[in-house]
Amino acid sequence: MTEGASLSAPYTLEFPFERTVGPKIGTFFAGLKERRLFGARAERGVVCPPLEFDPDTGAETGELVELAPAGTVATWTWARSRAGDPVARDFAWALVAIDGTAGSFFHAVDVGGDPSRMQVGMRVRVRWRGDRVGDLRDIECFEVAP
Amino acid sequence: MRDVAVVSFAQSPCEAANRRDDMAGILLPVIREALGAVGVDRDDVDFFASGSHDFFEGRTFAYIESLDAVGAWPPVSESHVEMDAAWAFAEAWSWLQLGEGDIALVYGIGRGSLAADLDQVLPAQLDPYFLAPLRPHRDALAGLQAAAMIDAGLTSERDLAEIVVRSLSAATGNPYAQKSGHLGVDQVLDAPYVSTPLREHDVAPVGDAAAVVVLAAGDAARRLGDRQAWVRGLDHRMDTHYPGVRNLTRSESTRVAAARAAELAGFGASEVDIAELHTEYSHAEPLLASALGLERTVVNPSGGPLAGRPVTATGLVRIGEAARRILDGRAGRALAHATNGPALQHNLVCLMSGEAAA
Amino acid sequence: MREPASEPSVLREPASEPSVLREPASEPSAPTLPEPLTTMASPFRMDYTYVAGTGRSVFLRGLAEGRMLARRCPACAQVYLPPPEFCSRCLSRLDEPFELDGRGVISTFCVVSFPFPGQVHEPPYVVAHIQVEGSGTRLMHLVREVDPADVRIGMEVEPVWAGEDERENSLTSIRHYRPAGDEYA
Ligand SMILES: [Zn+2]
Repeated sequence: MTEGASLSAPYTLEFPFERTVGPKIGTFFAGLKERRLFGARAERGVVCPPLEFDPDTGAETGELVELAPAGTVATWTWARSRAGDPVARDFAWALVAIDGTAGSFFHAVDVGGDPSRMQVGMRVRVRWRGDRVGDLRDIECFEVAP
Repeated sequence: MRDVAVVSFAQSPCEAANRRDDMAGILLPVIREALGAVGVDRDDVDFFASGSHDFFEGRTFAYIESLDAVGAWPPVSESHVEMDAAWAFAEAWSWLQLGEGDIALVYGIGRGSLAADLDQVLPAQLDPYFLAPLRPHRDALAGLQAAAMIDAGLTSERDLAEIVVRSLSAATGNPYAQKSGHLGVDQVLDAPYVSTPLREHDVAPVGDAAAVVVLAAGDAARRLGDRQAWVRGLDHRMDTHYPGVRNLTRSESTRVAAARAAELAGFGASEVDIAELHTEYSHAEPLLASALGLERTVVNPSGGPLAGRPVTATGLVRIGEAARRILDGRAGRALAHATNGPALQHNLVCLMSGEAAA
Repeated sequence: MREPASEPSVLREPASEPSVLREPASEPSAPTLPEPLTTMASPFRMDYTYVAGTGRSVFLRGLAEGRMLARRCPACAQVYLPPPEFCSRCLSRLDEPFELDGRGVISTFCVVSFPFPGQVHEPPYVVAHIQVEGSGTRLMHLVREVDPADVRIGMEVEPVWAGEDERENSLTSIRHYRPAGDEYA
């Protein structure tokens, strides 16, 4: 460090936050723990994941409905895997339209590290985590549906 | 509406990593330049508004340090937004509309280089229940948006490469640009993917810079120079938070903000000579051009954010660059756009003219 | 934002229920819902680079040498300790640094009695603003070697420096302040 230049130093911030969730999101997370997928009724149809408030009207969303944990890839982008990512090899981030819903669900899709296997319109299903705790990562990722 | 104009603009060069200056050190020369150009003393400024973000600075209440560059003693009237400084500009404009004073100084500081890995930081701006826990890569949502646009036939990788080539070429005339050059389309298309279909040059290079805009009302504005960039219309709107319930190929919030700004201005986005758009990714240009109804307008003559993205100063730089072209007589009417949030969630449109409202 | 629909449109059953919605045969109405969770973990960890700036670096380098460096504003004569690069009152660049001995008086203080995560010192301890003689600003530091109950505003204090081999570009090069008045001499 030359005289007159600025000193600099590395440091780390950590926020060990705990966050309260709303009633629909709380039920959705509890459902994931039981390997069940829920959506909420909104003006445009069922939205999954369920939002507390309708994205079109701002009103509270309606009742929760149970959904089959499968859907169709609407859009995807290829990502290199980092430590702690949902998939331990390169994977896709995707918007997955869960069957019976209006809209899509953002999550990871595992195609064995091969981007040429990704297609808009491909069928995928939820791969559940073994040790589920009741949050979004209880869905490990989506995988190709046979 | 009160006549309010941009009378001065200054910025610091966008640097990939400034390891020399603290916040006040980056900002102070830029404030001096902006005020000096119109002969305004700091004591003549009625209101200071600023924009920056603690998550980029890595400290809570980080912006307090920047007040050392405006002189906070004796106490000044000031306000800060924790977002792009274009929204501080919107606040200062509103404040002048209320008749609280005649001269306002808006500054933005963006330090994109202090975070060791923006992948750690940018998830903090996302939905905390359904997006942040997945820690998407910083460019992942933009990649999805670009992919959706290509899938819908609204653009192509080659179109995006042409936007990059034009932007970086324009930036060769911009001494504040972080990145510039005369690249070939094939060269751009040979660069590696960052987040498909976005490649290296489709993603704005993040850096550090400050920007300052001086706003003045009515006679004060006329007194301060021969030309003014009158803010004829300004509005900002938001799309819903969760990307899965948005149509990512459209920007409804931009369209509505532009319509409201046009209503105030008496002219629309399609009638401007130049537009400075806050394009953090190349695909944002066709998306915004469509929402704004731009056709033959010159877009991002400064090179735009693809030539340098000083995070929370980027939107204010767009306003400054657009105003500058009116102030120096190269444009009669100009549009500036700024954005916040993932995949163009929140959008601001500002219409300016060399002529005040009749 | 639109008014919430007064019609129960958001709750309306779609004309034809999508066949993929699984309705357990035994429960033809709504599914049994799990008990909602109320909280979720939401941790963040972020690594940064701190850039001290040229002005602050002068002060920090001085500390590593066991010197307390102040700077004066050439325009308004304000003396800063620690000094930034520019005067925050009149925005002039500050003059060359000069050394102060660091002695001063407590202008205000508090006794920290509560524990918190990451706490370095064992409570209770005294944190004070010290008006260092020759400076127009106040320096924040610990006051030790005195019972917190005996600390008072106006008390004369002096810096206790870390040993030469322990000093670095940090305020920790001053271990703490301690009373310097006759009564404690
Ligand atoms: Zn001074």
